[in-house]
Amino acid sequence: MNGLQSFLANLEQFGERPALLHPDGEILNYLELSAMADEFSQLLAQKQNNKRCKIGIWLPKVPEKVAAILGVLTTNSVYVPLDYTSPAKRNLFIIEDCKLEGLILEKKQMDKVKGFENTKVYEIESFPALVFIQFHRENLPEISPKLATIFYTSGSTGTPKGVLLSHENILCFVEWASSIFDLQEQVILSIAPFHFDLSTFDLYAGLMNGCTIILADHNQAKNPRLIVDFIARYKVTCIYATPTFYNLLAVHGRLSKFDFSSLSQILFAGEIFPLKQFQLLKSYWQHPTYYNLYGPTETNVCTYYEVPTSIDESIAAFPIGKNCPYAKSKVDEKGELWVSGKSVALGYWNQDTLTQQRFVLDEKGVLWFKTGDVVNVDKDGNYVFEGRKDRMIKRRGYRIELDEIENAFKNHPLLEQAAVISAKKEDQLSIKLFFLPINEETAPSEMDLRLYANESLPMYMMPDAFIPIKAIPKTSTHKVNYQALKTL
Amino acid sequence: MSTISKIEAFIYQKLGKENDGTITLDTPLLDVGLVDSIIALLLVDFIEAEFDIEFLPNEVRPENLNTLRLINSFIDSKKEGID
Repeated sequence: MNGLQSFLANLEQFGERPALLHPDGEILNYLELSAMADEFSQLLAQKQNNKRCKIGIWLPKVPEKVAAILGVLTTNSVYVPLDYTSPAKRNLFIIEDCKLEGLILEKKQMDKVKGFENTKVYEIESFPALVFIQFHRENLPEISPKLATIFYTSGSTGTPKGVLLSHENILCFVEWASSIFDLQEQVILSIAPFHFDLSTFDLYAGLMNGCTIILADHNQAKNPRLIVDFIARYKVTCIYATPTFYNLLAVHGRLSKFDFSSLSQILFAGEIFPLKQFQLLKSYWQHPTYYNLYGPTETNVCTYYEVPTSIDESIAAFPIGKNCPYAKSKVDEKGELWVSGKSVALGYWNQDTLTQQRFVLDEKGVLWFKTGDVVNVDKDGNYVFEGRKDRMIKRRGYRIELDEIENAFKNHPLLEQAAVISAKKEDQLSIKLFFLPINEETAPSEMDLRLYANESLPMYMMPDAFIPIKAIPKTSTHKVNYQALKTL
Repeated sequence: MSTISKIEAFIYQKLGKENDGTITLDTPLLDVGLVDSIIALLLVDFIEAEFDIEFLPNEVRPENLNTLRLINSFIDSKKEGID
C-alpha cells in the first residue's frame, strides 16, 4: 500500500464519529465516509480496469468530493482537483494539459466538457447527480509510482502549471502536524479549496486524527457572518487559513457577538499577516495559540513560527520561522531561500525545463527547490520574508503570476499590447493592466476587458485597474519596462 | 437620491473613480470583479446603515448583490418585511 492508502484503510476505526459536516445540513460519519469512498474506488477500479491513472475532480466542496478524492487514492490512482470557481476554459486546459484519463463531474455541468473526442460518459448509480467521464488516450507518459496528486497553480508562461505532489510530500507534513498540534478528534473548519495546499492539512491531518471537518464552500468562505456562526455553533477548535480570511472575519464578522471559547489553534499561511490586522483578530480571540506556517505548494509547509503571547510591536510582520523537522533550507548569495527534504515536490507536470530551473540537484545529489522568496534571518534565527525575486505576487493569499494575466490579455483580438504590474497602497496590493488597442475605434471598454478576463482567468486574477496607454515603455533591450509603468 | 444611485455612488467611490457609466442596472458586479469580496462586505455594511435593514448571514450572497437591480429589489423586499 502506498503512503496515504494505509491510513485511509483505517478510517473506520473512528466509527460513528462525524467526519464531514456540510453546513447545509449533511453530516457524514467515518463509517459512512469510508463506505462512500469505497463506492468511488469500486467504480474507478471497474471502469479503469484497475489501471493506475489520473482522475480529475470537478466538484463543489461537498462531502462527495472528499469521498471521490479518497476513492481515487484507494485505487492507487492520482487525483487532480479542479477549481470549481475557475472559468471552464481554464479547467479544460488543465484536463488536456494533464492528459486526464477520467473526470468526476456534476451531471448538470456536462455541457462544459462536450468538446472532447473519444470520451465515454457513465452514470454513477450511487450518486445520481454525478457522472464519470472517461477519456481514451494513447501513448501516455508513465506516472511516477510516488505521485498522489497534481495541484495546478498560476504559471508565468500564461497557463497554469501542475505541481506533482507525492504521497511522502503529504505524509511528512501531516505526521509532523499531528505531532506538533493537538489534533485528536478536534473540530476543523476547512476554508481552503481542495486544489490549494492548505487543504492537505484539513483533509489528511484531520481525517488521520478522527477530526470533524466542516466544509465551507467558496461562497460561504467569503461570507464572514456565516463563518463566525459556523465557528460558534459547531464549536470549531482549529482553523488553517490565510490572513486575508481572518482579517475579513475580524472586520466584518461581528465577532463580539459570539462565543469563541472552543477555538484553540489558529494556523495561518499564504501571505504576510500585517501586525495591526493580527492584533485586531487577537483582541477578539485571545485564547488560541497562533502559528505562522510557510511554504510554497512545491514544498508544502517547510518552516513554521509559533506566535509568542507577548508580541514585539516593533516588527512589521511575523517571521516565517525555522525549518520543520523534515525540511532543510539554505539562503543563496542573492537572499533566495532554497528548500530540500521529504516535502519537496517531484517537479512540474510535463515541464522539464521549468522543473530543472526550479528543482536543482546539488553536488551531493540532494534535490533543492528554489522558492523565489527572498528572506533574511532575524536575531533569533528565524527566517523573515522580504519579497520575491520574480513577478509572482500574493494577493489575498492567492498565488498569482502577473505574466499569466498579461498573456491572457495579449491574446485579446483587439489589443496590440498589454502589460501587467502590481502596486501596493496601504497594505493592499492592486493589479494594473496597461493596454494598447489595435485601433482607437475598436478599443475595448473596461467592461469588455473584464468580461473577456472572466472567460479565461480565475476571479482572483482580475485586474483592479484598466489603463489605456499610447505606448508600452520598453527597456534598452526591448523588454517591457515595468519599473517605468510603476511611475505612471 | 434614489436607492440605486446611492449604491452606485458608493461603489464608484470604493473603486476610486468617477461615474463613467461602466455600471448599468444589470452589470454583474461580482461576476466581473468590479465589486470584489471585500467591497461586497463594505457594501453590505453601507446598505444596512443607509437603509436601516439587516442582512441575515445567509442573505449575504451573490443572488442579492450581483447587480444594482438585485440589490434594489432585495432592499425593497426587506423594507416590505418591516412594514
